[in-house]
Order: sequence, then structure tokens, then C-alpha cells
Amino acid sequence: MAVAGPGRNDNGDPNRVTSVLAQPFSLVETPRTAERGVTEDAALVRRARAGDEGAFGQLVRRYENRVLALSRRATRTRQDAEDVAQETFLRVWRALERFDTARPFAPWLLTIAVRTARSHAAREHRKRMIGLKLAEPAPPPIEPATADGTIWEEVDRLLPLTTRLALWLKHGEKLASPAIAAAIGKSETATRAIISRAHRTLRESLDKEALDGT
Amino acid sequence: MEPEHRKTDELVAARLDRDAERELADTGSVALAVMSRMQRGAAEPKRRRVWLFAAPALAAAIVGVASLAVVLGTAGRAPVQTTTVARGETAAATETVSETGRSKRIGLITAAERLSAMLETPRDLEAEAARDTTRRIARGTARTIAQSLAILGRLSSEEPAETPPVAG
Repeated sequence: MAVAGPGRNDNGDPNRVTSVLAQPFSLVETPRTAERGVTEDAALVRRARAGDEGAFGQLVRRYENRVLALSRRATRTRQDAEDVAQETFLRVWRALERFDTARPFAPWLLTIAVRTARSHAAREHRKRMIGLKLAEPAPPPIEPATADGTIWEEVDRLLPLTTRLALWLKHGEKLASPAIAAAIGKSETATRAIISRAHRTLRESLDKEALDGT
Repeated sequence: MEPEHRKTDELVAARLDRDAERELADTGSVALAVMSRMQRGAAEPKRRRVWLFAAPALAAAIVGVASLAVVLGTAGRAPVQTTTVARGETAAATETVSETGRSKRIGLITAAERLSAMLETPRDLEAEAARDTTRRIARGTARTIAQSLAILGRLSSEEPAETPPVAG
């Protein structure tokens, strides 16, 4: 079956998935905003467009933990977060032709991730609203990403979705306000206000010892 | 902002930065799953699924809108009915009458002829209304005549009023 995406080169090899991922990874580090990373991203995108799935596999490996971490802001379970991350990369694959290689890849990818995460959250909300989940027990508590938990658990528990995503783009991705605003679809002023309110909410919620501690 | 709050906000930001690094260290098996789904063609069926539901819905919507248009059109503008009215022995005038009365083309025709034309149009609401009016007038007239005759009859059958005895 053909895959909707840029120039596919299907040789029908069932073991190709692992072989693609086993290709040597050109970067040891995954610098978030480094110029070198930007140009290598563009090169990988061009190769992926030409039908090189290995190049796209490298892009996925390079960004999977970042997309996964962002997806966790919109989901309750790790499984859901992985589903959102997978869906994000499939959307990226389908939209790769539209990417402008003169621009950095990460903000574009993260914008798609934000939209996918929002779609997922809206879908879950609709399911709850129309009663598809009536028979199920109450939603489980949010699974912590790490065994001893992080402040992001409080973020996920206390703040609305858009605020969580904006806060992650600022502190997890170190994006500037214009890029965050573009990703979440708000003005820069509104974005700064959202982040400021989030800091205030967390400040009021957490005591000073908790903030000082690890 | 109070200096105390500013300091606390800085602590919040520092903690968010620090813990974000730990969140990022959490790796999954996304790449393997994505490549597998790409090769299974998982990117495409979703689009097909959309069309699977969208095509019948679109067809139903088109049929629904068309039906609604037909119903509304029928209700709003009834088929034009044409009645040919003979006018004496010399000429005939043609009048086109619609139920809404908007597309009337009235020739040289008298009011009486026009009324008779409408009365001869069985599906014409205007004509039916006119017929009803005529019947009501006829009934009212008949009732009035009957009442008048009854009064006259009663008056004629009654004995003349007793005249007071003439004194003397």
C-alpha cells in the first residue's frame, strides 16, 4: 500500500523499518537552536522529500523525545502521549513538501505537534461529552514522566491546555515569545500574559521549600 | 510586581527549566512505531476513512438541500395556471393567475369576467377564496331576505292592534 507522503521508495522489505533506524545517526547531540542543527535538518528534509525514508527516520529520532515531552502536556497517559507523537510525525511526513527549508525545522514541527495535541484533547473531550466513556471509570491521574515526579506534574494538574503547551515551549524548548505565539495561535502580548499568569498560579500553589527542593 | 513575588517567579522558572531537562530525558519508541506505520501505509487510510464517511454525508446533504428547495419552491410559487376567458363573441383575453398573485398578466377584462375566470380555476387559492366570499355573501343575503320575509309575514298575520275603546 502506498504511503501518502513525499516521493516514496518502497522496496517491499519488511525488515526495512529496523534497517532504516539502524542507519548511522549523523549527530551525537541534538542542539535545539544551533545553526548546524538547522542546516542538517534542512538537508534531511530535502532527502526525505526525495523519498529517502532513512533521512526522515533520522529526523524522527532527533526530535522524538521533544515531541513526546510536549505531547505529555496534552495527555494523561504515556500511551496517549506516544500516540500523539506518532500522529505528529505522520502529519509532518504528509506535509513535508510544504516546509520551507530556509526556515528552522523545530518550530514548524512543534507547531504541528501543538495542533495534534490540541486535536487529541478536543477529541477526548468530545468523547466524554457524548458519553462514550460513561462506562469507564474516572480518568486516571496523570502519570509522571519520572519516578519521583517533576514540577510539570503540577503544571499538568493545575493549568489549562494552551497554558501548559505555552509553558512547555518556553521552558522545555526555550522558544522566544513570537515563536510560542505562532505555535499556539495567540498574539505575543497574550502569550506573555498566559505565561505570566501560569508562573503566578504555580507560585501560589507551591510553597517556597518545594520550589527550592529538587 | 513585589520583589518577593519576582524572586518566587524566578524560582518557579528555574524549577521549570530544570525539570524540563528530566522530562526530555524520557525517551520512547516513537521512531520505530512511526516508520512502521509509514510502511504499513497508516498515513493514508485515515484520509480514506474520512472520505468513507464524508462522501455519503455529502450526498445526503445535497439530496436534502435539493428536496428542501423543491418543497419551498412548491410552497412559495405554485405552478402558474392559465385561464382563457371568452369575452363576448369577438375576442378572448388571457389571464395568468398565480397563487401568490405576483405574476398576473391581466388583459382587457372586466371585474366580473376576472371573477368568473378565478371561479373556473379549481386549484387557484385566490379563486377559492373568492368563491368562499361569494358563498358567504349569498348565505348572508339569503338569511337577510328570509328574516325580512319572516318579519313581513309575521306583521301581516298579526291582528291589528286593539284600539282603545272610544269613550262615550
